[in-house]
Amino acid sequence: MYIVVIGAGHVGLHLIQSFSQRGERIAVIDKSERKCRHVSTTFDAVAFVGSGKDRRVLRSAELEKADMLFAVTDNDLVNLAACRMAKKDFAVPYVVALANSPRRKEELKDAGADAVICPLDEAIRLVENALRTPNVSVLFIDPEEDCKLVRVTIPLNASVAGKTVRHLDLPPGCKVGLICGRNGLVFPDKGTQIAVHDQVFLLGAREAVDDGVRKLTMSELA
Amino acid sequence: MDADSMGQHEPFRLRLRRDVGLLGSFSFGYADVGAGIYLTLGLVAQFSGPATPLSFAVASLAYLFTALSYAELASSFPEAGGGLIYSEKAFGKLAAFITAWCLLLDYVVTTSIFALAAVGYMGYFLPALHGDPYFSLAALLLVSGLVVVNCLGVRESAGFSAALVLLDVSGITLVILAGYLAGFRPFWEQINWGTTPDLNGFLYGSSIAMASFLGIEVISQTAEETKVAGRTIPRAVFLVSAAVVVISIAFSSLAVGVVPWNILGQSYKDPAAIVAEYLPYGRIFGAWLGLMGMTVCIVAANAGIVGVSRMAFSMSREGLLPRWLGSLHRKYRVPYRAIILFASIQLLLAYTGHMGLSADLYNFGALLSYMLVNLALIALRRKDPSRFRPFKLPGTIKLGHGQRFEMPLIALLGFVSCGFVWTLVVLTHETGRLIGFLWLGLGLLLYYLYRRSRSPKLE
Repeated sequence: MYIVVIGAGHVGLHLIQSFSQRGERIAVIDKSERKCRHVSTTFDAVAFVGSGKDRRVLRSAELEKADMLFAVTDNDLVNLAACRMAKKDFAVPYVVALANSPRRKEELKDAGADAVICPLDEAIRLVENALRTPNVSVLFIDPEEDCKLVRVTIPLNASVAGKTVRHLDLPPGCKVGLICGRNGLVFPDKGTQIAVHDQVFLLGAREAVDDGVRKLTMSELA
Repeated sequence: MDADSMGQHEPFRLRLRRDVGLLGSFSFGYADVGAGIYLTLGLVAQFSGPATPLSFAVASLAYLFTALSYAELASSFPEAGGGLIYSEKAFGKLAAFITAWCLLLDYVVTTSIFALAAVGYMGYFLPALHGDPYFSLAALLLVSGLVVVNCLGVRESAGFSAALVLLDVSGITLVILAGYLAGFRPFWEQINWGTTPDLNGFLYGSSIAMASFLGIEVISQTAEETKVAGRTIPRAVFLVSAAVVVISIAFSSLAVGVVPWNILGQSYKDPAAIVAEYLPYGRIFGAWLGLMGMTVCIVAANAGIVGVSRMAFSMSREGLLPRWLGSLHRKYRVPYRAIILFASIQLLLAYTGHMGLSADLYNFGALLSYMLVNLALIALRRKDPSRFRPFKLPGTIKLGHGQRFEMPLIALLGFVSCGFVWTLVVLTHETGRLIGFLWLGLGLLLYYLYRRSRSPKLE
């Protein structure tokens, strides 16, 4: 594959390293000559000095031949312009954009990005996880579809310990997708038993999953 | 977007492996260039006489300009194709084809001429090999064996080349040191300008000496397989240049210092071994250089096959030759069809080969393409300014009033020097001129017919 990465900063460098190790063909665009020198003398990549907003630079990098574009600079306006041009003018099949500000996520999607990553959103999710009970980790939230994936570690005094999936009495719209316990990874059926310390992966509609979490973590003593 | 549509922009789904490091890149570059002196020493001495080292010095200068141009271009465009890619990006498909077709001539001739030279040095040990039909048959067998090695993949070729090149560099360095310590007679004391040599002879000899250095293109051909090309290629070019220039001038100085130049001129099949025989412990050094000459010429012949296959791969990828020619073997990931097709021409040339004509064709093809490559560097500085050059030629001349353009001086000197020698070859080497232009004409005809057959699909 031919991959173009705009931005050789913290995120970009990790991407470049990963793609380089996989043997992909990589072109990197960055306005810093120093970063371009680092990239071209450290990885199997060619570099272009300039802005990701500059059509001439994108043309020099032969963006029309790219299979994927990663617009991962620290400037959302540059990422936005690059996404727009990549889709409209260069017909890049797959575009991934970094949204430094959550406000830009929708704009980037409207500009044509196939995937938008917002480090701030991810940081907030991880912080929220840390603030919750240690037994519960929110792994994924899709705000558009209003669905959620959560991992629950069954606590010592949980009322559901020893019960089967059938008897968990989970709300509609919430299912147990996977259980990781003493028997390893199990795709449960209705007869699968839940044990203390099992990691139960719940998925479904957001409110139903929150309800399901409450049921799984409810103490016997409550 | 789904996984199946990934990579749709690249017609060749299999890519060459990146497994050539600094040693491999150096070996590919040195193999062809370093072997040149084993081949041309006797031929140059025939015409330049005692001024042979000066011929190599003149050729070195022209070579260095172009080598540095390649260092910039190959590190900035790490793709298989070398001169083809640079010319295409600078001037378009036709220029790319001319460059590539001329280099193809060079690679085809390289394998055959160095296979013959290798057999010449084998003949130092087995004199029967110097006679017909064994001389040609042995060259034919040698080329066949190298084709098989190449079909197994670059890794095997790079390792093979690296081991032999290291052996050669250390071996010839030892001989040079031993020779200078044993008693060196300055060559310049023998020169009598106007008679030994005369100007025409010196120029003719210098143009043959140029054939010693025509091989730096191989490094750029293997750029797509080179690890971290931006760092590796400039280093490889510098190392090759330093090694080749020092060794060729030092060895040729030693040669005319110990061997009467007219005897050197007659020993065109194994000149290096003859030089060694004149040193103390001559039989041992002679055998050693005979072995070195054989090994280095084998490596150079191998480099020619590598160059042909990679050039054909690049040409077919760029739509200059049919695609089936450039397709990679599923397991070994080498362009096996191209290797085999051009090997048949190389085998034919090896079997019927004339060494003097081969040197002329070698010069014709490579110098013309090098002129285009130097021009391409100049054009690309203007056309592709945002591309980062890990190595950039120092020294520019500012041109123009409004849009100021900085002309890279070294590339300009490279173009002028290659142009001068090419013109010399064309004017003074009749058969080479004829066959060279015939090859060019044939190529242009094939190009026209192939592009015309594809033109409805290109719309």
